[in-house]
Amino acid sequence: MAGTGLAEAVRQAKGIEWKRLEFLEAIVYNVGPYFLLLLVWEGVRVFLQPDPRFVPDVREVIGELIYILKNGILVDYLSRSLLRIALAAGVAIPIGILIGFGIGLNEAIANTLLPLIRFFNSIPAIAWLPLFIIWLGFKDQTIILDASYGLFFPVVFNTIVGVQTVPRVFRDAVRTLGGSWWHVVTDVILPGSLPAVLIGIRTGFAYAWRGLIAAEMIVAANGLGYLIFKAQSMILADRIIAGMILIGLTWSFLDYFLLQPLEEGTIRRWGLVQR
Amino acid sequence: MEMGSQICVRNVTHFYTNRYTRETVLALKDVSFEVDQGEFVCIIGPSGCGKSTLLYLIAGLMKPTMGEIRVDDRPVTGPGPDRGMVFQEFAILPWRTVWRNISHGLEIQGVPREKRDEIVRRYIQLIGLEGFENKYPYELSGGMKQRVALARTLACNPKVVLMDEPFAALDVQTRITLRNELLKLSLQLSNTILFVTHSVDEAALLGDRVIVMTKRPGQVKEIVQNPIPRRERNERTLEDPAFIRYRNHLFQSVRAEVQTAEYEELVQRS
Amino acid sequence: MRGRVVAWTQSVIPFIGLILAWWILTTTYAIPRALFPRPSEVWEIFVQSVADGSLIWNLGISLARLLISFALGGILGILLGFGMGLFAGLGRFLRPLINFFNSISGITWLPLIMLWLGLGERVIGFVILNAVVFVVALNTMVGVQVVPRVYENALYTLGGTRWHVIRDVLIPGALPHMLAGLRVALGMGWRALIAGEIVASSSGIGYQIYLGSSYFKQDLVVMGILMVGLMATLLDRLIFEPLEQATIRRWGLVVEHKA
Repeated sequence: MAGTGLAEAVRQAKGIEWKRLEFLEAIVYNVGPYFLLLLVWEGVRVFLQPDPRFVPDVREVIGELIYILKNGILVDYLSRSLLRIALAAGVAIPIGILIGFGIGLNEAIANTLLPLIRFFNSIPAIAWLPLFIIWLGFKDQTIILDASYGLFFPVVFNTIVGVQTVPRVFRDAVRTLGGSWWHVVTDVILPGSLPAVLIGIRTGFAYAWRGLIAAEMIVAANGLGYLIFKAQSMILADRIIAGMILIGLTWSFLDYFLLQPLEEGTIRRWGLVQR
Repeated sequence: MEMGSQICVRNVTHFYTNRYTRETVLALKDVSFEVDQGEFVCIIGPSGCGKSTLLYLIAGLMKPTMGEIRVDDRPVTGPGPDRGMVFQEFAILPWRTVWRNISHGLEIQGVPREKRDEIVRRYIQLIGLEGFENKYPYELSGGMKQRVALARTLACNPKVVLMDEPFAALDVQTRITLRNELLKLSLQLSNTILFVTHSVDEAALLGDRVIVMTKRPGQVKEIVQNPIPRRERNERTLEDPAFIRYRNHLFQSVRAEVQTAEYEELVQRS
Repeated sequence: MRGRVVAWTQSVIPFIGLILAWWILTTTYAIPRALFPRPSEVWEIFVQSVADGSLIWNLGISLARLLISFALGGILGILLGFGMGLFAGLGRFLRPLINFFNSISGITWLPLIMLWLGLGERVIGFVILNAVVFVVALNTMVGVQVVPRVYENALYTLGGTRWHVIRDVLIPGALPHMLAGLRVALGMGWRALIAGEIVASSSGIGYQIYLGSSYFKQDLVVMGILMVGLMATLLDRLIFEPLEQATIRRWGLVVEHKA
């Protein structure tokens, strides 16, 4: 058919165009933003000429990154921060899920605990920090407790939502198959609420990471928060910026390689995403 | 006096590119037809045959790759209030009450308040929305929502009303009710109506003429004249032998297209 | 009315229980007084600091800091988010940057800003604003992007212009996400405020908590913490609940979870 030939021709022509466009687009959208950032940064330096001690050069920041990598500070501090957040997760996630399930499944538990949990959620972890310091001293435990506090609430709230939004029919279906209440919990509610729980964990991590950095500034003698806070008193702007970039990158890596795949893995695999 | 046709679609061919797969698809191929002033024309065809695309092109929401579309002898360059559209998804705004949704088009055109209220009141009565004026869309059933959308479009008194599978998202009972209401309503209207559907029954009962489209790429397969004039059509028409023959003819015509489309898909998959 | 009274009592009972438990645990010395004050002590310090005006003063300063920066950051974030939502290219271009700055927003900026600006209002203002802007921008952008396309098309077929679409479709349509973003941002702002006041200020409720802890005045610390929670709850009730009630709840755009 002549028409098909025409369609084929247009399709091919557009195909070539798309490929070239795609390549250009990839460059613009993946490299462009960071290039713009560097441009603004250098522009400020060249045109506004601020005190170089306060606004360092890009090269100085990279130099500082290499320096702290070589003398071992970077690896040491980074691993300490990561260990702390891992421990905080180990504390907060199981407790959060347990309480979330309790509230989601039992009305009496919900009536007693939910108002309290709502109230404590409105107090940011950082406000507790001074009290935690009195309790536990200037120690790792203080930081871990503070980070756990931030992680706990999103896990609880999302677990509740997860449990409550599992469609009723699924429960009824298992019951008509002869399943007991326990079957309903293990076969329906646990897997059904998992996507929401994972969203809660991811959100909680974002709060906990910020809380961790703040707590490390005030409490610690090491870790990424301490790195930038200490650098401030030594007027090492290049180290502060290097530290901020590290904090941002570490979070992005955690989120991109651990939390997002976890969340998407279950949700996508079960086709629970509508989009 | 010979009236010029109101909608004139001439040799329209349309490609679109899928945003995600970036595949280029031929949606419409060399489509031509004309619709007269005041006529009620239905377009029917298997799903994916580009019949909705055709409506979007006439509305001016998309531009055809090739060919020409004229309304009232002027080429379509973009959307405008002379071509109102009713969408399958209702598309009435959740943040406006029924009243304010219906008056929206008039507001946009700067119709003064008093005149606006008068027109809105008239259409609320005509379409049977009394008592729902101050409700928000989420409080309405699907059928009521689509009535609001129709009232909103008609309130602007467009020359052409484009209806894109307006009853497809409704349950069967509501569908039949709205179909019969629209048939009666159309007798009181002078607007030209172009109605896209995949239901043979709807097309047969509503259309003065029916345009049957082929599977993708959509082409005009045939244009069939309804043997019963619109004024004489009602529930009982469904039992009229002439009408039954006509309806069966449409049914066979569409079914052939659906079957080849399904067959081709099977071949492609295997 | 009766339902309301029941609901209210139901939500108050847990707090009474908590205070009772607190009272028993501290008066029987199950929890040492060096670690946690008794309810009566917290009440006394509350009365005292209300009487001498210090509590009102510090809370007032904190609130003023929060609200001014939140308003500024909120407006900036909404404008930025709208720009990114309206112009797909701009959104795609800026998104990685906004994401990155969001991941280091707020408290992480404290050291650098203290280096630049010393101590004082501008530091705290900046840190709050920074904590607010990116969350609001990202949520507003998503809000604009998820408004169904068909609403836009409908408006165009009614003769609407781009401006009509923005005013009548995109702004109200983005509101659910925008409000959610602002709500989260207020929480982020609180956190940044308290951290900022602990580290870089000598006034405000955060400073008061920190001061209490450095003199081992646990009653002052706990009173401050409770005030922070109370203020946060109150702000949410006074700002967001009426706003939601007047808009997205009225339009039926909120799916109510029984939580």
